[in-house]
Amino acid sequence: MKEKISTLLDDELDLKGTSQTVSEIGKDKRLRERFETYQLIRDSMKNELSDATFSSKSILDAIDKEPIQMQFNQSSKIASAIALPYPSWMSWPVAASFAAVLLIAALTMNHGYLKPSETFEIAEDIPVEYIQAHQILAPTNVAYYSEMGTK
Amino acid sequence: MWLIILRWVLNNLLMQRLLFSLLLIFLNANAYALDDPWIQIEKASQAARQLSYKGIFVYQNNQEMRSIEITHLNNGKEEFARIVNLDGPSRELLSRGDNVVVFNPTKENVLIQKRQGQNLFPAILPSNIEFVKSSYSLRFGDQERIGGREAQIVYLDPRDEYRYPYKLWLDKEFGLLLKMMVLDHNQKTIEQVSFNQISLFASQDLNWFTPSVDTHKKYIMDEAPQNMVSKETYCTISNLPTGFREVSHVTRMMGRQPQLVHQWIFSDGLSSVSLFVNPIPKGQKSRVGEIQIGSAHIYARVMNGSQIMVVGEVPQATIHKISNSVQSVSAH
Repeated sequence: MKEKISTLLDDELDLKGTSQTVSEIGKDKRLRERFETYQLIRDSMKNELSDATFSSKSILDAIDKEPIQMQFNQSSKIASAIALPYPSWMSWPVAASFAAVLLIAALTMNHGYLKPSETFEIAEDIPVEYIQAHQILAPTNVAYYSEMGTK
Repeated sequence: MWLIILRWVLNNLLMQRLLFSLLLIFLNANAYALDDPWIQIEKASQAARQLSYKGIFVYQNNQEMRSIEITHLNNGKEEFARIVNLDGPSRELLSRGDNVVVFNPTKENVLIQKRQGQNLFPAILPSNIEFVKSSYSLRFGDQERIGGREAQIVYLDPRDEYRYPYKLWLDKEFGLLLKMMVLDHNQKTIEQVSFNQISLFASQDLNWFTPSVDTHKKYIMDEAPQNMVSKETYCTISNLPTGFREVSHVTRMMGRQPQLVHQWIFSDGLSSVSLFVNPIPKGQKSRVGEIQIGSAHIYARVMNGSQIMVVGEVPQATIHKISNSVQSVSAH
C-alpha cells in the first residue's frame, strides 16, 4: 500500500489502480495520515509546493467527496521532477504490516507472563527506551530539544 | 511669613506633581490588567500561529544550550514551519498544519520521523487557553526589551503542586511570545527559550520550505506508533492530577526484547507526561524506583505483573499521582 500511495502521488497509477487506492485511503484514517506525511516529505524535498499542493489537494478533496469520481491532474510536474531514489520504506507491502501486527498479537497471547522474580532499581538501569519514547511523542519544547541529548 | 507660605505652596505643588506622576506610572503598568488579562495569553497563542515570522532563538535547559532558527508562515489557509538546529547534530523539523516530520541526517542516511503536532516555542500555549486558566493564575510584571522588541512580562503561577511556574515575555505590539522561562518551586530555571532576533514578513513565498539534506543519501522512515482507535480497556485510569487530560494513547514495540507497550500522553495544556504500561514477560526483570534526569522525573513500579512507568518534565508529585491513577490492569 505504501508503494501505491507513493505511486499515486507521482501520478503514475492507471485509472483503475488509482480509484482502488483512493478508495482504500478514504476508508482508513491511518492510510490517509500516511498519504499526507508522504506528501509533506515529497513536496518539501522537491520544494515544488505550489504544484504539488494542487495535485495532492485534488486527491484529498476527491477522497472527501466520492473516491470513484476523482479526476486526475495529469499535467502535474511531480512525476518528472522527482529526483529522489525510492526509499526502502515506501516499497514495504502493507501485508507485512498486518503480518507484524498478527505476530505481535500472537506473541502477546502465547507469551507466559508471570510475576517477575527479580527487580532492578531504575537508578542503576536507566530506562532509556521509555525516556526516548516519551521525548518522541510528547509535544513540548523540553521533550523535543532534550531528545538530541539522549542520542 | 511670605517665605513660609511660598515654601508650603511649592511643596504642595511638588507633592501633587509627584502623586500625579505616580498615578500615571501605576495606570500604565496596569493598563494590561484593566481588560481581561487572559486576553494577552490568548493573543500570544494566536500570534504564534497566525503571524509569519523568522528568527533565531536560544534554547537552554540544565543540560545544554543551542541556537535554533525558525521560519513560520501562515498564508491564511495553512501554517508552514521549519525549525532548524544550528548547533550540534544537524536536525530539522518541517510542519504543515498538524502534519509534522523531523529529518535527522546521519553520515550514511537520513532518518525521517513522523511526529504528532508539536507545541514548540513560540507556540507553546494551547489554542484553547481554558486549559491553562483552570490550572494557573496570571499576573503582570515589568517591561523589558527582548530581541529588539518591547515585551510585557507575564507570570503564570500554578494553582497547585502539580505543575511548574512560567514566566513569559510577550511582544507589546503583536503579542508574540519572545521569551519564556520554566521555573521549579524554588525559582530555579528548568528551561529558558529566548529570541535573539525576530522579524515579521508578509511574503507568501515557500522557497524556504525544504530540508537541507543530501538527496543522494538513503532515506529511512521511522513510522509513528499506532494510535489506539478502539476503546480497549486495558487499564482503569482515574483520579489524575487536576487539569491533566489524555491527549493520546498509542501502542508501540519497545525494549531490548521488543514487546507491546501501551503509552498514554496526559497534558494540562503546557506540560506533558507519558504513562507506560506493559506486561512483564517471563524471565524479564522488572524495574522499580525513581530517578531524575535533567528536568525529567521517572517513576517505575510493578502492579499485577505489569510494569508501570511514568516519565515527564513535571514535579515529582505529578509523576507519583499519575502512576497511582492506574487503578487496575487487565489480566493477561
